[in-house]
Amino acid sequence: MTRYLLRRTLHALIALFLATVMVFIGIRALPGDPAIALAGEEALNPEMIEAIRQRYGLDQPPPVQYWRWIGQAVQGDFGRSIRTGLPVSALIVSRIPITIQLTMLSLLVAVTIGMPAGVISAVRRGKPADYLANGFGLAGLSIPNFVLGMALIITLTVDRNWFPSSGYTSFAVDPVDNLMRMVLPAITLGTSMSAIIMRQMRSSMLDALTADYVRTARSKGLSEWSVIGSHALRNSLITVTTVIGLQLAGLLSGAVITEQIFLIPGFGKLLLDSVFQRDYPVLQGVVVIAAVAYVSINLLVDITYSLLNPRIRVSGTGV
Amino acid sequence: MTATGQAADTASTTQTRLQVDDLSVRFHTDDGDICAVDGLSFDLGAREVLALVGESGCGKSVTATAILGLLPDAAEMTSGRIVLDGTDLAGLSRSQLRALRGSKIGMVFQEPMTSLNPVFTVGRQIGEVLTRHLGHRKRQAREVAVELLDRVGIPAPRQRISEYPHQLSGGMRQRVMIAMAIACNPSVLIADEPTTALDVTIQAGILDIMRSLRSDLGTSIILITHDLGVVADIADRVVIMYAGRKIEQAPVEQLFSQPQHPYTMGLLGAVPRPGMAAMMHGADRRLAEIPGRVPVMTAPASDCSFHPRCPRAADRCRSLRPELEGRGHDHRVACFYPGEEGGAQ
Repeated sequence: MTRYLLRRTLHALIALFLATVMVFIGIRALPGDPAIALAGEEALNPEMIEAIRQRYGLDQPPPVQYWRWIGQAVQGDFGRSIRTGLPVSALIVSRIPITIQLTMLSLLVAVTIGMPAGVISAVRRGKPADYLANGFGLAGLSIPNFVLGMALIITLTVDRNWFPSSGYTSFAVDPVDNLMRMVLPAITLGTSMSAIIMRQMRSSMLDALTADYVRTARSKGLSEWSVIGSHALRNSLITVTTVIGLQLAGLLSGAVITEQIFLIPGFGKLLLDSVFQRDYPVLQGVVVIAAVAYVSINLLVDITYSLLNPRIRVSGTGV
Repeated sequence: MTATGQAADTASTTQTRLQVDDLSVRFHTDDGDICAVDGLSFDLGAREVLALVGESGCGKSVTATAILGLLPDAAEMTSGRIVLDGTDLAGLSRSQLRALRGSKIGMVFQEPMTSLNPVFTVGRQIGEVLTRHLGHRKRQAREVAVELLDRVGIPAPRQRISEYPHQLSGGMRQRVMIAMAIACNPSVLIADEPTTALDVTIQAGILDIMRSLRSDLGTSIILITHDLGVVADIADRVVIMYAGRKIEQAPVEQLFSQPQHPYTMGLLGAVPRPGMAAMMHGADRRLAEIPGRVPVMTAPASDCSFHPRCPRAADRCRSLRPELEGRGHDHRVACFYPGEEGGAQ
């Protein structure tokens, strides 16, 4: 188990390293010279541009630039925002909890709808409940986030005024208002994921229910509750957890759009704003942190997976 | 099956543990119905080992799942009565049936590799039966599970108990399956090809366990197999099945010494026996085999389903279905031309 963990962690670090290189190259490959962009109106003055290049180390060869940047980044220093002058790390730290709250609530929505719906539709295969769940699944997968988000805003906030339409209140300031404002974004972001979870759960459950060990469990006289809820479910959870993990990382990108629609000042909105404002230090920092989040989530999923699946835990050979 | 036939069947065993009467099972498939079992009846006496023998697809395993009430959704029991220790299982509710499964009827399935749940430890899977039926607490169940593993001959049971199925060999897994099936001292144990996937020395070990179950605990055993070597080794009585029907039934010695049905003779011919090779010469040194295969029955047979493969087939066999008739003590056969010379008719 320890060896397995070490190897997975090593893989994660390699993936992270590659991600930072890609970010670094990618941003430099964007059209336009960052120094000129930074110089703004004085862009016509070559000395000014040169000064900016020196100040930001852009005159150094790219490997040196990368090394300097990554060296500071691992100490938590991503430089300062060009627009606001605030440290990028502080900006990110202030936004992350908002996005975490949003993704966790979305995950909660997705799991509480998706898992039971999947189990029920597998157990009631071919019955009305199954058709209902499948219809929901298809709709959930087909409706884009932004459409669902707008539809919710129009029907539930503009027409009926049940929820505040947009904006954000900190949980520390007013928990009730905070949650009221988070409900619709969480549903928006969680619905498509719940559809994915439901479909995966359904197919894994159907597999498990025809498995020999389920027949064995029934031959032991166990109740259906125990046969389905314990023997079949536990096996199905192995694949479903993987899917949840992969989707969880995907929620981060969904959060970008959702935060934009509901005007929630989270991590995703910071990313979009930094793109539109050509705030390179912020953009770099945000993308790196997103990569860190993605890789760590996947690592956690791997570990959870190995806990659920004893075959992997012992052999240590991974999947 | 005639009423007199049933009476004779029942009378042949003194104390009946399990009685299967006129069992018919159909599978509904996209290509139409399939008659998997057709009018099968047999009794299982106390401390008796009854072998259900036949080629793959003759309805043996379906019979077992029907007795347990675990037929798959596509299957339907169209007729039949299953009586366990005097109780007609058809009259029981689902939960009453569940209470019998695992406690009064134990089942060992054919595939030891896939029949255990891969994500639970062996101890938990055995313990479950004990907590379910005997109300044991977790710790107590674990202790009993260790004893059970010991009883089925698993070395170092205290370590094995916390292992997962994939850590065990095929023979070990089969022993775990048996330990699970006998955990509540069932009066009937159904073992579906319990030794098929295992090598010979392990086979012998499994058969030893079943023998001691019968002698120590008085368990009655239905042994489903196509291996006549195993039958000769352990069975008291044999039921030969073909295409979902019983075609011959006899005490084991009698079946081996005086097989009556041409199919049974064919099966016996396909079993290597010591000394046989020495008696044969040249090209005859091969095992006999029965040409053809078991037909898939889409409707109950109106003729002898074995006739396409039978060396004795006559016009009568192609148009009429032979019913079971007595040929000596407790020996019954469904054939128009039975026995050594093709019958007295």
